[in-house]
Amino acid sequence: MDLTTWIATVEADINRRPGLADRTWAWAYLIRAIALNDLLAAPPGTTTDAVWVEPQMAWTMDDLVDAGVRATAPTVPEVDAGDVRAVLTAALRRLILVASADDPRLPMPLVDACGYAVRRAALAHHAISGTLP
Amino acid sequence: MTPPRVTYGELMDDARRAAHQGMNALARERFPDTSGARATVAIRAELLAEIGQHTVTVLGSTRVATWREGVPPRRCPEFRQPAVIATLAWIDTLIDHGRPHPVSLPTPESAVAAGHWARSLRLVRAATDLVATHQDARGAVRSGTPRDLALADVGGLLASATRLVNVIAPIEPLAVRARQAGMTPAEVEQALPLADRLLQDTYALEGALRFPMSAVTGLPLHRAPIGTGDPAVEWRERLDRVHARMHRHAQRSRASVRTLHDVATLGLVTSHVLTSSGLRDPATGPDLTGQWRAVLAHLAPLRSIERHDRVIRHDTERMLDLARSARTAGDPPARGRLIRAIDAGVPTMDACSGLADRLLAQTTDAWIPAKPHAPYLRDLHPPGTAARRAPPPEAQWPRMPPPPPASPGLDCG
Repeated sequence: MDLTTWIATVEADINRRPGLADRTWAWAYLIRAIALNDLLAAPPGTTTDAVWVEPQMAWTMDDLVDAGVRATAPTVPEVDAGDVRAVLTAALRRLILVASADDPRLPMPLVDACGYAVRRAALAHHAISGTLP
Repeated sequence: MTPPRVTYGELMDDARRAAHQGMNALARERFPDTSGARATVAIRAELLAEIGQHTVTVLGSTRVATWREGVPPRRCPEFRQPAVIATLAWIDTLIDHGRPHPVSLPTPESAVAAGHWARSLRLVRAATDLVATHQDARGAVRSGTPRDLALADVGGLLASATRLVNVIAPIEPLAVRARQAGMTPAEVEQALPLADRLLQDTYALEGALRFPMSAVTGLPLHRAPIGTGDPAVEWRERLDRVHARMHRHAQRSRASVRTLHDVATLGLVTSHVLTSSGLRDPATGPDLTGQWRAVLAHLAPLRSIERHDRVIRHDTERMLDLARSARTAGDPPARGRLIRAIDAGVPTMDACSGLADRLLAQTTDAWIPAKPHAPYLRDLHPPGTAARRAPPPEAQWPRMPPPPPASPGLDCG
């Protein structure tokens, strides 16, 4: 499966969730899981650039949970080591797009949590790809 | 059509929502040209200065003037309180941000973020006007003013303003976008300095005012503030503070899994930076990195809704920010000093890991994934809140082996 199809499949799965905050949490969970797997699968004694992504997504999930989000974890597909950077970059872009959608019905705690999620994702994107989306 | 906003809370919430939208726009898209970037930087400065003026109005100009005159404490007992000192410093910092841009630049339609922040600015001005209707010409509250405004303490009055500042104070991604659009490094550094203290001052103010949802409850003002002028000094001071906080948690025998994860993250990033900069000893470095990874793997499935230590979280975020090479890439001497400071902090990091090791064994937090349940049944135990005792730690926290006495090339101190 190529990257575009892969992302589209994951996106379709996540888009079935009802709320914007739930979808943001699911993307954060997915990205964090991929980053963590990449870190843990690195050769002994080494680290990868996923070290900059994993904490940002962990903090995003904490913010969302503190704002009241309770969601089930999405299925995390396996990603080849060579594809991790491209997958993380594409998934971070999706998170930014999802979380930055303007929903006037969203309560302020979730507005804050989603706003901070966008900024954390932008920082992670910059750290792993050297540029902003 | 959106109904008109009529209360102070609604106006300030909408201002914060617009501020978030501006930040979101910066994360999503580039500036079309340099003028859009300059206009956005200018409107941000104007918004911050306006929040400073707004704060004076909300507190009452008479009260602020009294604080500034430094009347004897007997006549004005709140004058010397740390909260008052922090508030005055914060107001000055905000107003100072507006000084380089005394005149508003025209906002191009294409600068989306500037448009959102201009709306936020209008909403803050409307909120200021709303409050001002309850004050007389001298800035004192009129009779009949709502009790919440007339008698609220400083913390209650400033909560909305500090939350708004928290949204727009961070200089990234605006600084990156401004560079992309063609602003010179000198321009960006002048308008959005790396050593900007606004976010730090806002956290300090929230700590002093003891907001219920403060980012740093318990942050004492009598301790010297963190210096943000030099990344190396800032790294050392923040690491010392993390260490002190971990000591406090160890004395109470309690720390959230989230806080332990933050410390593990810091350890792994330290390892990553030292390895990639070539400062790590090839004999011990890989082992230590591997141990940090094992700890992170052990902590990964654990979740908690228990709040993290916000001071440690804030410090970890900022330290990661400093350690990313992009932040100091333009200044190789500063980068060199930072790397040496990170290297010198390894024993402190090791002490933190020792404390975390003890706390990890005592943690009872675990996360059980929520299961779908019928929505018409009220659950007394909301999903995700169940807790059980965590399994015993499979990984020991990394400890630095003592440096060999006769090893001229290995200097961890």
